[in-house]
Amino acid sequence: MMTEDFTKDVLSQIKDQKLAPRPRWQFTLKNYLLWALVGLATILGALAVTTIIFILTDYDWDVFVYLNRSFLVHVLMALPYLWLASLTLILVTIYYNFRHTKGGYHYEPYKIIGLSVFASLVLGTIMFWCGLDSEIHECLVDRLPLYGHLVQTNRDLWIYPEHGLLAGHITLFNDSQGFVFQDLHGTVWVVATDTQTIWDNRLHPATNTIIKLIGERQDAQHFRVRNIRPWNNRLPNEPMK
Amino acid sequence: MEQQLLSELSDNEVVKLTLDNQEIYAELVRRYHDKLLRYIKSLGCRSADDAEDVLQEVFIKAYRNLNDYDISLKLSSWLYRIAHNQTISFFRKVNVRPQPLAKEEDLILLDFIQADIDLSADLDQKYLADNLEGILNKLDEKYRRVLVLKYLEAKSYEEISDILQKPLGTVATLLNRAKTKFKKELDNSKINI
Repeated sequence: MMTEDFTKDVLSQIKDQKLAPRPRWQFTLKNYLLWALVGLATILGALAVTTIIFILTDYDWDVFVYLNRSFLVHVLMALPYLWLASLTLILVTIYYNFRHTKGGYHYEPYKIIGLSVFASLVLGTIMFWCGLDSEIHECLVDRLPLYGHLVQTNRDLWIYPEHGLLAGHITLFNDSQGFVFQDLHGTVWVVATDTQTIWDNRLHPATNTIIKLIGERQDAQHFRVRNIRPWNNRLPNEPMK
Repeated sequence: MEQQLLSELSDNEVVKLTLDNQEIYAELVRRYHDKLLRYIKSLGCRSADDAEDVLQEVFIKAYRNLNDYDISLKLSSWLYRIAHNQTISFFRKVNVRPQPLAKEEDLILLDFIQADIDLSADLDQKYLADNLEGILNKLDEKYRRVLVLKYLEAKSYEEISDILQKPLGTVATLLNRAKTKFKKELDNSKINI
């Protein structure tokens, strides 16, 4: 009898409040949205991975000796903390959304996280091989000034003429004696070369070629170079942006 | 007569009919009233009035979300899941801790746990019965909940996984840990006599 009274109560509440089952499309939409967020977060994870790969492969790991710092400090300064933190947040987002899809709870957390890391790594590596890594990074540096401050990049290593490190582009090339060069801050240098100067064999020096110099500053406008490298560690040359 | 015909239908058939005719929902309420009320109480909602209120919310919520019911699950698992979540929400809303199990539930649980885990043969049964409530109360909520589902509600691992929305492996781990903790608490309580 008690059950019958309770049943009547439930039904009368449903009728009084004019309740009806929520339409199926709302649940389907919610599930699709969760999957869309999982997909979007995976793409963002891939972007993070490809940029991390770019930052790490583009970094000149050997120049710490010129900067009077230990290798450990050099490594700690090079790690892309912003991207690593973003990647962690993205993985948490993937896990949370996947877990709330229909049936998502059947999967162990380590499987979901492992699969997300794997998908981000695979997609990120594909983007890297397609050359999207530097595009993304340069785009962020150009459009988000704060990003440039938060991420230590190779640019930040090559702005120390007092330590013998410079980067920029050749403005006038003279094969036998040297060249005129404008650094990343816009300062113009007369760069002297000699027979001891080592040119990276990937370089085909010409006006507008972007390069990195290791040598000694002689005065405010003159620089003697010992070693010349291409700007991009993976590509032989890159036009000035 | 109609009620007799409905009682012969499967849960999924009743759900389908309910979507066209809300009166038929009464059949599902009748089928699950007692089971869900017992479950809500065993989760620690000891007041009969509170438990009935929670149960009413469970059935209304289930009705509103009937189109979300996945027929690959057992309807009972889906309803238990709603009851579980609604009871936890109730504890949060009124800011109270779940109450201990009732004595008779303690004893049912004890029978099943004893049958399942290897307790020493010379264990004083009276001592165990007298101290069971204290031992169970020392267990974490998560362990008590999984013991209740396994032994009081007689749910399979798959059903517990669907109710708690946890992977099967996690359910198995929780149950093993719950049994280990139970034995440990039992040993500790014997030392403290």
